[in-house]
Amino acid sequence: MIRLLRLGDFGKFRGADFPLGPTTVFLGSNESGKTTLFDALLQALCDPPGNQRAGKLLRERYGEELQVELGGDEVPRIAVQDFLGIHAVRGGEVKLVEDRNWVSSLKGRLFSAGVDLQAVGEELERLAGDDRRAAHNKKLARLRQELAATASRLSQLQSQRQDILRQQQQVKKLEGDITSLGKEIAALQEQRAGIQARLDEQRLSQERQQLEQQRRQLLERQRLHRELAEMEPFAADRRPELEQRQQALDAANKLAAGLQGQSSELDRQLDEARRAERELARQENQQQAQVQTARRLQERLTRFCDNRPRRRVTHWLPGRLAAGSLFLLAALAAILLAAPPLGWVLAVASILPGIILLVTARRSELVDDRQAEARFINELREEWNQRHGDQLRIAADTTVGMRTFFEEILADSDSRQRLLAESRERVLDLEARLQELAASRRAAGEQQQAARLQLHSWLQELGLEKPDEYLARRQQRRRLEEMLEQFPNPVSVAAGKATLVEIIDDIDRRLASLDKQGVTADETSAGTIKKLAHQLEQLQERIERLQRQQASRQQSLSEQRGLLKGRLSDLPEQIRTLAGQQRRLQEQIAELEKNKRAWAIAAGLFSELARDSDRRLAEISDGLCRYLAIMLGRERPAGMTDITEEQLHAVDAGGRERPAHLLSGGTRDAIVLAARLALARQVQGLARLLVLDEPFLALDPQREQGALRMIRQFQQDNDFQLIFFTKEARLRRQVEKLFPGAVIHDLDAPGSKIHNRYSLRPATRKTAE
Amino acid sequence: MSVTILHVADLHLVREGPERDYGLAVLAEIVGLSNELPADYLLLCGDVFDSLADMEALRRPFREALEQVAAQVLFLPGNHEQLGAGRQQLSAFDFGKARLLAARPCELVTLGSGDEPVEFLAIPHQDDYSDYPDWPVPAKQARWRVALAHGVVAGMSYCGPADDEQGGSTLDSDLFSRYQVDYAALGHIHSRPPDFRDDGCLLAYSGSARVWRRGEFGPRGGRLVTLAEEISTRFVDFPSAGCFRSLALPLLPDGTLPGLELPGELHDNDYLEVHLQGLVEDENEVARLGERLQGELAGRVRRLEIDTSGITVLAGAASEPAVRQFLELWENNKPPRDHEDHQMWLRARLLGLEQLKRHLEKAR
Repeated sequence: MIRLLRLGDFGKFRGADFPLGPTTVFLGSNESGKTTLFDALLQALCDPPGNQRAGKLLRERYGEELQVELGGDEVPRIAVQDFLGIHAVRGGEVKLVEDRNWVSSLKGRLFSAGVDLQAVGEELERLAGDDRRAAHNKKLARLRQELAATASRLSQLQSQRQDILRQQQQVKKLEGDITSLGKEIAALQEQRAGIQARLDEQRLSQERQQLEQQRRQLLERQRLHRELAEMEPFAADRRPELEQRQQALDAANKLAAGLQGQSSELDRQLDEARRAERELARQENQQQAQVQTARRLQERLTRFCDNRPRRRVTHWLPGRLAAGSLFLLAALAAILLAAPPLGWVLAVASILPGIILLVTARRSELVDDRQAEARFINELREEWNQRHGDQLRIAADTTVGMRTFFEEILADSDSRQRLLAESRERVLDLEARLQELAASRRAAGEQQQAARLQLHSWLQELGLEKPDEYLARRQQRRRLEEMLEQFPNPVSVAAGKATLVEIIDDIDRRLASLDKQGVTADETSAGTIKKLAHQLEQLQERIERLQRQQASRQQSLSEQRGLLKGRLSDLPEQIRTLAGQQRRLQEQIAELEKNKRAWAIAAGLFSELARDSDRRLAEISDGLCRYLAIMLGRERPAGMTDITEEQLHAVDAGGRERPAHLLSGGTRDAIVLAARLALARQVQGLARLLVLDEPFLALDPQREQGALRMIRQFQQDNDFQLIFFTKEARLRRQVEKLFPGAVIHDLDAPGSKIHNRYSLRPATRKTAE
Repeated sequence: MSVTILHVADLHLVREGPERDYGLAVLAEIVGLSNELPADYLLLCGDVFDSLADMEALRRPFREALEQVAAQVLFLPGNHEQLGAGRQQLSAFDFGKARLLAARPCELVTLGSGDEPVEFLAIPHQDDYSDYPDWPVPAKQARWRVALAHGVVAGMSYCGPADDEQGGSTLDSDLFSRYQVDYAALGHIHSRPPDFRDDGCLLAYSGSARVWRRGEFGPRGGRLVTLAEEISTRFVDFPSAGCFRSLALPLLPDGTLPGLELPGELHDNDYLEVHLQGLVEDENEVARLGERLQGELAGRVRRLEIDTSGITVLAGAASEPAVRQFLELWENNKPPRDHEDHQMWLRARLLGLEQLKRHLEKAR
């Protein structure tokens, strides 16, 4: 227990001692120093550091040196917030808000120095929530809108940029295309010019060829015409005349020729006859020797043949011989083999024919001695051959043959002689006839000459030499006519408007000019020209096609250029700025969102703290009820019916149960007081001290008694030291009554401020409990 | 035969202050890496110097550093090289081995040994690129054409802080595809956006070579580009550039720190920004805490900044039971620091306290 409060130079007091009992009352009006004493108690019990508010306030009011001291057995040390929150009950604090939040404010008053933790939590939750009416949520929504707008504008700019770049690329590509098309076209045009030049050349060449050909043709026509003119005499057909003369000549010739032929024939025959005669004579001479030999030999032969040598020859007939042999053999066989009677018969039968046969088989006759004959013939032959063998050999080897041979030779000679005589006659005949003919022939010759002359002069007239030339010429003329048809007259000549010569001259002039140009008549084919012309056409088509392409691209290019919004110019800058803005907006939004999450966390913490308060309220509810009952004069602690963490129901004065905020103000104030006591009850140890500073300020007078009784009960239950501060004398009397031995200090009494004679040493600190 | 390119930009060398040596150290690392790879070409795509005055003051160390480089070095001016230019012409200065490509509107050079030449189309930073279709760029002859440019390419997606895209002028990606560029080495954007393909052209930012401003999270470095059958590129990190790191520290109402948990990998090249947040009774306590932290941490990183913009003041906050209860409950329920929701819970703490503060203020 604290027995003494000693002040030095402290506020109104200049050295004052105030003894304290279990219950002490400081009675005084305002300005009497109650507050000072209260502060002194605070300083002495808590000694708040100078850097904290409480300490600062004390020093502000009472200076640096706070000369306060407590005397007693052991002086507790109490934390400032505990002193103010638990140990000191101040009347002004009893009145709380009079609305639904009364219970929250009660809890705040009791456990968190007046801060309504629930309310703080709820505010934080609201901040964390998405209520669109809240300013920060409106700002968030606005920022998000701005972000969306910025994003959309940014993507617009991006796409503008893309468009411009793409257009630039297209323009570039088009320009490139146009340039390369231009190059292609130029190349093709060059090609075309080349081909055109070649084609022109070819055409000139062709023209030249044609002209030359035409010229040739015209000249040919000219020549033909001339030739035809020259052949005028052959126009008419004078063949009959020719034929006539020819026939005459032919006839004369024929006659002459015939006679000539006859004469020749006769001559020939005469020659032949003469020759034959000569030949015959020669032959006869030649053969004379042979003839003589032949005669001689023939004579010998004839003599021989008349006395042909003979000889006898014997020959056996083979058949008969054989048969005879056989019979003989048979006879032998019969003898040998057959029985004697038969055998002998047979044998005899056989032997006889056999012998006959054999005998008759022999023949002898007289034949020519062929050998002698052959010798003789050889002799003759040899003799002949010896003499005339080189001219004529004898082949024959029989007399007959020989005879024939010789007869032939003699016959030949006879005939030759006959022939000779004939031919001599013939010769003479022929000679005579020849002479006759010669005369005819002379006449025919003259006739021939005359006919020839006639023909010749006719031919000469026509300039011919031979008659068959006429036909040839006439044929030639006809051919010329035909040929002329192949070279027709040019129309202008036919129409009489120009002559061939003029035309040829024209051609010559043109050829001369072609010559000057160096055009030669090369072998050109129409095929080449055609091909070149075709190529030219194709090239032309390609060129036109490419030119059309180029024109269309040119048009596209103009369009594109028209659309082109120019360079990017300051778009990149705009994009960068917008992107920066976007980032800043995102940062701001993120910051706000982080705040919201943080608010949510803090809200959670405060909610837990609020629940803590609820729990603590529940903890003191017993005490609260008990003290409330005492205060309200109930026998049973029936003040509270229900303390949940949220609600507090109490039974009102009329005995009805009501929720706290519907209770009367007085009841509520009573609850607060009871609660303070219930809270203080939890204090242990040295700090069992309760300071009540005008605690009944808010209470009705009739409640005061009850409250005092409650406090008295509290003191008795918990052994607390009580210190009252009040200005109510009535209260002093009531305390004196209820609290026996209470120490009363009347601050209004004179001399109370300076109470002691002691000088004060600096307040010493007792160690805390 | 493939060609290796080290593509680097936005080094922002400054001539005075602690960042001077820091920048030059990164330059040395770049040189070392170029020789180590080895790279055939080193492309410096703009903002190598933070201003013309810085360039003037540092051109000697710059030349000396590049002496060591074996690759061919190309230097494209960015917007920062023109800051404070006035009458000065970049081309009047000697950059040693680095070949300055400052001709407007663009310049084409062909480099490389006989069998694998590479064309480089250099497009220095300029105000207006809108007449790019008329630029006199010859048709591509070599197998590859690489562009160097410095600016913002419209349409690429960026992921860094909004500041990244400030300044510089805007290019359109069509510029590169129109001129048959295979790879566009870009500078100006400090974060590391993903590379971007437009019609056969690969556009890529290397990211800043060092941490230049707050908010440049992640490793700093450049890009390694390989020209072969296909063109491939990947980021390479420069450890000497350190990283930008951000640390949020929630305070108790009395201005104390419940516990100081530093991020695991803190390097002495890092730029650390510490955010003190919370509802406090007395801001002076926060200032004192800040000083203490400065003392403890300043030595461990290259650059330390303490930010107290997340601090709100409410008298009596330390003794309010509601505050205490809320913070206790929060402390018991919060996920660990490496959890993905940790940042959200820090925010919930701030917002919860804010709401509570409103209540408390109303109550008073």
